[in-house]
Amino acid sequence: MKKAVVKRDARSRRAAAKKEARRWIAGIVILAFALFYFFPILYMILSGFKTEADAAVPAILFHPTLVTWQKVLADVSMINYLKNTIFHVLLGTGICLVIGIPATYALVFAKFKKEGRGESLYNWFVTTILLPPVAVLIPLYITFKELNLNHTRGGLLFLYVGFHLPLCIWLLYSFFKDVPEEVVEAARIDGCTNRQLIMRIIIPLTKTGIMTAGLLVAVFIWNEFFLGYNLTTNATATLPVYMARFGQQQGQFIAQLSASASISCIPPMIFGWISQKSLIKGLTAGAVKG
Amino acid sequence: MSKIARNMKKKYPVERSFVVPACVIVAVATQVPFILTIIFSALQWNIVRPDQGITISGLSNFIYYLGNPEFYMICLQTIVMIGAALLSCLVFGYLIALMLDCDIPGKTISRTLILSPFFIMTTTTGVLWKTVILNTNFGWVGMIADWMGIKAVDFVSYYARPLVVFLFVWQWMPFFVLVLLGGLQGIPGEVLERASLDGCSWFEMVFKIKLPMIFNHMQVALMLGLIFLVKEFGLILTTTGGGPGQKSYTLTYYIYKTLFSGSNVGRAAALSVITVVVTLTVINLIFRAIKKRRAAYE
Amino acid sequence: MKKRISALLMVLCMCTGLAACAGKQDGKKSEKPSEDEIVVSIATLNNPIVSNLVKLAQEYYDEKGVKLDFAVLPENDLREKATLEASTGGTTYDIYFTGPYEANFWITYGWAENLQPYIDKMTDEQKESLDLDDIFPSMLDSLSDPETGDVYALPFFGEASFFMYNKELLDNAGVTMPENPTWEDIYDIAVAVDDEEAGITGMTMRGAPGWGMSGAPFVTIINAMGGKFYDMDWNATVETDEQRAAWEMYKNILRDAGQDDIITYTYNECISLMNSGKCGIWYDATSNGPNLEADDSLIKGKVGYAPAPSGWLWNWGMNVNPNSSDEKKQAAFDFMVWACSKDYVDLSLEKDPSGASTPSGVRASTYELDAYKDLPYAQPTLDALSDLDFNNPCKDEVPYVGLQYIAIPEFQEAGDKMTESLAAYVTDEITLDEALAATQKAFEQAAEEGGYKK
Repeated sequence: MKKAVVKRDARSRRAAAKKEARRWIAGIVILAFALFYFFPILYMILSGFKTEADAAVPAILFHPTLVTWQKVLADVSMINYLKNTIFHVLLGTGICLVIGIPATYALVFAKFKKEGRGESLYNWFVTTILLPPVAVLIPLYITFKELNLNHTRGGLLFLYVGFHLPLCIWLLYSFFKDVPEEVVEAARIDGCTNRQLIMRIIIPLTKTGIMTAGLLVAVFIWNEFFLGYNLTTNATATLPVYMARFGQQQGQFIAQLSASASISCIPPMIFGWISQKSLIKGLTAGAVKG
Repeated sequence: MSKIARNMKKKYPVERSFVVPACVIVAVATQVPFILTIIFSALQWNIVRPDQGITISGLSNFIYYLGNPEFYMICLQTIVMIGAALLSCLVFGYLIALMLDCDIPGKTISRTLILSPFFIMTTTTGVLWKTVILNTNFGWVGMIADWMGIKAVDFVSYYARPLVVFLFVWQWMPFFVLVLLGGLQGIPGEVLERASLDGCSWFEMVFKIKLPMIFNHMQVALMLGLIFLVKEFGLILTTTGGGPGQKSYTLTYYIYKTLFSGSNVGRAAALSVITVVVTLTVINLIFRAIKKRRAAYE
Repeated sequence: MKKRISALLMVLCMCTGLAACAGKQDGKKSEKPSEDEIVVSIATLNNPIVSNLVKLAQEYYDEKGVKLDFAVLPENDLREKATLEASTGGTTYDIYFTGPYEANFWITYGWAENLQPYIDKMTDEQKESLDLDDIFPSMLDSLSDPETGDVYALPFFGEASFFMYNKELLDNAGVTMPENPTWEDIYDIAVAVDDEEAGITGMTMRGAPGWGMSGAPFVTIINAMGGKFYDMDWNATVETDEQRAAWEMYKNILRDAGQDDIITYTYNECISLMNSGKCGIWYDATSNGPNLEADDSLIKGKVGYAPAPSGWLWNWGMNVNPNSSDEKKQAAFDFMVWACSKDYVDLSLEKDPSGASTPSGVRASTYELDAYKDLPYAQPTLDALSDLDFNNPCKDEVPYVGLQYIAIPEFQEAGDKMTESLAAYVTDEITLDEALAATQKAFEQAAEEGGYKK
């Protein structure tokens, strides 16, 4: 009797160990793949700490130095591009949310005169995401020239808001739909004004969604290239423009290139890392009901 | 509903007008210029020939493209490249999401690393791969080829299309992983438990149980992926420059070239309109196909 | 009603917010520098000589109340942006770097400011340091209105083309460069020098598409081999035996003896490759010659020069945007006089005695300076510049002018398409017949749409 138990114990223990081993192997395999996948970025970050001479030879082991970083950070034009990008990301995302939240709130909860008007408005917003910027470049270019907007950051900021609002609304929509109508109804009966309703009820209930939308919009604005490339002057251009010109402009300075590239991608990457859980949740919610 | 409640509701109705500012901004930023583009598409307007003037040419810009084999080639090429990229994203993205969904050690760090390329700006991706990895003298390709004692392959010159597809995948697969992982995590545990009690094999589990349950997610990932890949411009500009020849042109790049190299506003506008129409059609088709598949499953 | 008002208010708020942002931006900019400082924006290219100008101008150009803002763009970018800006009357830049190709139609369409009034108003000091009579007439003419003779741009540096070769590598391979090589000679030498195992490239040329990129060397090969683009009736003549031979020559050189990443090479990559001492011959602009003699070059003092069978002629000049304000125009002109003057030549030579960053090919006096005339590339450059005929580019009579380009606005698109086909042909993506057919079509279309063909 006892023997049997021991035997069964041993067998299950062996099975468990086998399972455990399989788990570890799977973990190592995927980690190896992840490292491989991430390698170009990793190597780029490392190369920023090399001297130019070291960087000409691909190698992972080297003497780290800050010389290249000092050179890059001393480059005034680079800092200017960075400033412009930060300006657009902060204000652009902020304005998108400030306008997008009430708009989505209205789309979801307002009774429109015509049945389904809200729905069709929402669909209209979503279809505008499809529009490739290159399709509207010419009129925008001419308008910007006429109004002298390419000398200011405001013009591009306006476009960024316009082009990313639909995305913002699309992401927020499903979250707002999740808020039970009864809650809103009850609050209204209690005498909540619209502003109070948004501030006290909607926003706390849809935090994840707002985070997701804000983060995605921020990342997209940070990385936006086409409009920034064609509608700016030297003083108002953004980081992606700097990166695109870098290769040709500076000859083959790999270390400098790497350091600048690191600046261009570390902030959004950290954004992404911090928010990956809420992104997964947010995009999923968007998927199911969107 | 009580009378009081109705009164209250009348007093504080949900403001429909809250949606107005958003509508105005989006319309001014995207719709008005697009209408202008449609108008421009009916013009004969070459900006480097002001002496020829701007004249109304009706549909001739569209007819020019419809009779131009170059256009069909680039159209087809765009669809094939983006299609291949999306398909690879979907397949690999699903497999990786499956692995990351299991309870394995170190999955958080793996996930973090895999997601990273999605957050990088496309011009950086392009410059990074071109100079640091693919350069046959200073890049890793050159080094690895040296080490293996073979001649380094110049991917940018000889494998431009696969390279562009590869970079599309590198950049967008993380997004697919993100969305599909969300889908997998949302599958109720009891469904999987019952399936495994029923003696489902791993294969059946993955393709017959899980796959249909995340159709919605796949659809969303595909849609967004498609939309953003069609717009993609910086990556091509910084790596292959559309070359060799026009082998890695996409429609977006073609518009850009028509405008900046050809200086032909009318034709660029016509091409823009065609691009939007083609994209909308393809998206519609995908939508319908998915709906049909789903109906078949349910 | 209330709703409408609140909505309106929101829109208003937003607009003022936006305007405030924009306004703040402007305010900040004009505040920092002293009150009526004039900012002159300059669109320029990323050439070593120009990069040096950017550096020296920021250090030594000291005109009260004027601030210089350089936009250093890759050459292709510069062309595209400048053309779009000029044709739509943009005011993003006050000075454009352009060449004779642009000058041709920019003058006709009024996209460049007539500089004659400014030249007439110059102070004596300016007159002496600019000394227009010292500039090669061919350079100045290419930037002037052919009818009135008014100058529309000041040439900053000029170039022709020649072969630069690494004497040591040629000796090692046991070959010598003839005095006046033909392209067939060059091919033989390049193949002889090429040694894959030792990592030595026989010959390098620009391979990146773009009419001003690979187009420049390539069209001169066509000219040298007797090809042309149009007959006298503007019929495109690309599908001919002469052109065929030139296309094959370009491909054979680069495939049998050329660099690895053929179609990604701009002149910057060519410079790196030559300077590393691992490349035999380079065919490019005379203005690039000095880079091989720079201090960090491994082949300093080992470079030989040989004339091209049929070269190109180009100069980068500066012109003023006619849409800028009068103040800016004057400030821009003053800067141009400074940059194009003899004094700037002296200054740059003083800072960099190797001559690598001195504007060349524009003034006769540069080649008489003690510090410059004995530099190894000085005489070959002068020779290359002197035996070119801008108006008769081909062996046969043709209806167009221009050596490495055709001076019509439509050439930009046709030329770009040609170089794209060339890149595809060189990398075996398409056959020669396909490449020629595509190019023939592009040039035929250019002649028809441009209204040249009767």
